[in-house]
Amino acid sequence: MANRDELNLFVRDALVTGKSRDEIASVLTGAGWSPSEVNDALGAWDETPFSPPVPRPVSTVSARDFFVYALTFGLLLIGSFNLVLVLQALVDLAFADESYGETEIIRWGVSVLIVTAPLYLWLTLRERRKLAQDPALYRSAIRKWLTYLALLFAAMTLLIVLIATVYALLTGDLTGQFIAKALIVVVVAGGIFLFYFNDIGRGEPQ
Amino acid sequence: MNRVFLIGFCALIAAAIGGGLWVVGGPNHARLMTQDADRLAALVDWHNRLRCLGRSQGLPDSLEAAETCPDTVVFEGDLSPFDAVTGVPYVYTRLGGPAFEVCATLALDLQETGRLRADMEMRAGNVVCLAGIAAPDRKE
Repeated sequence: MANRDELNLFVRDALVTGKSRDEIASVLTGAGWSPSEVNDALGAWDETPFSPPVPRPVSTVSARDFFVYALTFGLLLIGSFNLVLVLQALVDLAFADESYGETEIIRWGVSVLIVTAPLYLWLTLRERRKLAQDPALYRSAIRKWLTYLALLFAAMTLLIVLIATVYALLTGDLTGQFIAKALIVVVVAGGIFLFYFNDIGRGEPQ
Repeated sequence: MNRVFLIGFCALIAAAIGGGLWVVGGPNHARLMTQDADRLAALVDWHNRLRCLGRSQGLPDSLEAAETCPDTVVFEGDLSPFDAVTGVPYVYTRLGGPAFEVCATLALDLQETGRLRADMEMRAGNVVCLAGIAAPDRKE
């Protein structure tokens, strides 16, 4: 049983000997490889008529990427959660008398924001400068994974807010206080979603 | 486009930090709040002890003369008749019969903060009082 490396090696050798892509695809399909595997293997090589065949760029994984992007993602998660907590506590205070719980939530949330927000901003701007200087960094697999993870969290949050709003409407609890708190979540989660959504296509080959 | 989002988020975070600090106050305000919380806790402890003493052996003449109530079921710790920060004694007044009140001077006006118990009364000069009656509990 051949593995993917052997498949890629075979495709490369076949291209070197001048076999056409259709011929290679046909023989591989006949040997039992699935169309997606054949497409992936052929797609790893550029269609420019040149010998030896020109490899296409592939995703990269590095420990440095993991550290930077996981830290950035963690800061985003903790910071945005506490941003929502602080803003919602301020809304609660605007609608009701001060309570011990809310002031402690605000104090803790502000402490978290003072630490996480500048660090997240610094890491993000620093990374964007590096990406602008070297577009190859866009191919980081970890960057892509964590971008999609941020999108997933933001989308899930928006869905939950929507469900909670419909539920509040049906139960007659759709007060001004509830709407203000839901809007805060929508603004924060929606902003994060759009921010990372704009990032997806960057650095992809045209 | 993303620059706009980043600037927007920075503004939102700055608003949250600024608004939060404006509402809850700075470190000194928090310190005074903690001290007041200790005073309120001491008032509640004194209130419990005086009610207990009143029921078992009669109300004492002063807080200094109030010993630990033998019937108490609540752990009171080291209960001082003096304010731990200012050293000023808590004001204990016998109102006649089994009625009494114990008062403390707070650093802040906590009237609208929701930190006062419903039976606590805020008076002028940030004085908060807790009245009680040392009568035996009614049996159902």
